[in-house]
Amino acid sequence: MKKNRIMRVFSVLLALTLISTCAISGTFAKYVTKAEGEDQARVAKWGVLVSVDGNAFADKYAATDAAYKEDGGEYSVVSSVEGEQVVAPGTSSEEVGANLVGSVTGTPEVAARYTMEGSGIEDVVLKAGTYTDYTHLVKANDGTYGYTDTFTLDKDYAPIKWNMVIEGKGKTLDVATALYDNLPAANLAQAEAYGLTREGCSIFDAITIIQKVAGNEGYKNIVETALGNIVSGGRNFELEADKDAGTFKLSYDFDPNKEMDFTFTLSWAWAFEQENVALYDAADTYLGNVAAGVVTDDNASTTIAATLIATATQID
Amino acid sequence: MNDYASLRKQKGRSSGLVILVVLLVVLEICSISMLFSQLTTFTTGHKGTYISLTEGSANGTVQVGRVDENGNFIRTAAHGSTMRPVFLAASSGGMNPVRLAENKTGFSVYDKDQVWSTQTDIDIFSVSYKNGQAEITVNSEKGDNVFAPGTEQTYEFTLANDGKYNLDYILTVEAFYENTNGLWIPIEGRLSRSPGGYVVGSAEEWPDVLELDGYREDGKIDSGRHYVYTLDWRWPFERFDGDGLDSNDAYDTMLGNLAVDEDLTLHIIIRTLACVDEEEPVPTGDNARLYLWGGIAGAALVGIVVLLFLMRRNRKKTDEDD
Repeated sequence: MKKNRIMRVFSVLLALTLISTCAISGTFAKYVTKAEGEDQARVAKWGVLVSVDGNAFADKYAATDAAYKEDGGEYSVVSSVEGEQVVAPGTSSEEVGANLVGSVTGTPEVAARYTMEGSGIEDVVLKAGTYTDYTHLVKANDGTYGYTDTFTLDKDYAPIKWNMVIEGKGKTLDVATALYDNLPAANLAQAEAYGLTREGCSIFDAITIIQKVAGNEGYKNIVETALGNIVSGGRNFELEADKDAGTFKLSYDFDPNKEMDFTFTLSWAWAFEQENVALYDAADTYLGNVAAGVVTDDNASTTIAATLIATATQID
Repeated sequence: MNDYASLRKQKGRSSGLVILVVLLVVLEICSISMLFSQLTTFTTGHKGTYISLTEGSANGTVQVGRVDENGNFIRTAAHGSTMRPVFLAASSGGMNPVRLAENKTGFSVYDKDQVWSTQTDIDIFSVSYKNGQAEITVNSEKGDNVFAPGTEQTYEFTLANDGKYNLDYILTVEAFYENTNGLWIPIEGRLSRSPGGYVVGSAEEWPDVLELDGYREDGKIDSGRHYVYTLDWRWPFERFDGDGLDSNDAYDTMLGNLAVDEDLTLHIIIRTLACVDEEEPVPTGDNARLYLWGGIAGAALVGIVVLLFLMRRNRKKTDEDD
């Protein structure tokens, strides 16, 4: 019995030896190494919405003259062709609630440039020169009546004045007022010489001023500072204009994750009466006659038009 | 009397044999335990917690298995030449990566910042990107990785064999989108190896990044050699192909607007697997010890056999005497 037990122990030992040998030789045969790298990313958010709404002009304008209204007059200016928009002395965009409103909203994860471009610009303009005064019918020596008086414009007359109001973060910036409040006296005098008034300026005067501002860091800083108070997160305000081509371009950059949330309102007005009443009445009348076709003059332009494009573009 | 003396002599022999057997058994047990202790030290000696290469297994376990012809790890029973201990150069759950210096194959994958383990977060993409004027033009709101038109990045990683043995390796790339609902994202990618050149795309050609998906390289890397891989991707700022610039800009903008509410995500996974070249001599760990303990085990085995022989002869003689 004892021997049998020893035999069994031997057998077990033998098996263990063989198994261990196989196991060790096998398990030590190979090494395997695995390494894995992974990364992921998502599309960066854009979500910038830009809009330009409204119609700056109308085909009829309500009367403001009390006597006319009392007598049943409703509109003091009405286009002869329904739907065809017109302008005249005494009309304005606010009068008909036809302001042009642009807005931009969004907080993109990429740097963005907000751009407003104007092109195809035409304006109501009577160029500097001497013109027949159609406000006075003059009796000649022979007893006949005619428009023999003249008036002289020392500079181009563009009666429609534009202004822009920018709103953001609960604040409002009236551009014309801001320029008057912030420009040094000498610079303001220059701007007024280019056509700036407290009510704004004509499109082409604006382009001239933009050209001057764009080329002057002092002007630009004033505008950028004023803009920065209204539109937080923006920087690098740039202006470009080409009076001959009738184009202008304003741009404002926003860093990633800066909220873009502001609106601008473009308004215009053709004053019914201006400082030099006789002169500008004569000029307005002359323009009206050209528009009516009773006078033909290449120095007079009676159409106002512009294409305004607002864009938000990713900055590379 | 003679019978009694003979019987006593035989009993004395048997006692001697029993003592010898006990001695041999002790030696055998010692040698086997030492051999197994070698194995135990090798597989569990690291202080980190290991996870199995078999996906989904729990931490702290060691899986034994084999690598099939597709490079997949298959858990197996311990038999034959396919049984392989798996070196686990991995940690998980925020633990520090196990040092690859422990990697007996000498194989490692690393980039400029880190040595890869399993499921290593690598920097193929970024949280923010700068333009040529060093201005940040893309920046993630949430601090996660993003990409956008005009972004591009190069990721370089190295496969190195610092061990004594030539290695077989497999490199695979997986690339896929998530949450895009089938929308195409205009990201292009290419992969090159130095030495060797482009393996996906070329210097002039930028294929769609999804063409990286399914790339597989079965290669050999000799001892002391390393391969440098470069993965480039880009989302062109302006694309003039297809329906033209305006249409492509509109498409990119649509993707950016969709991204406001949905994470349109691209995943890129690079997997590497290396094992000792089949034609290489087997690396058997500490040879000196193995020879020592193996020798003891062998001697014990021989002793057992001899004993068996002697006992059988003894019993036969006793039977004849009886």
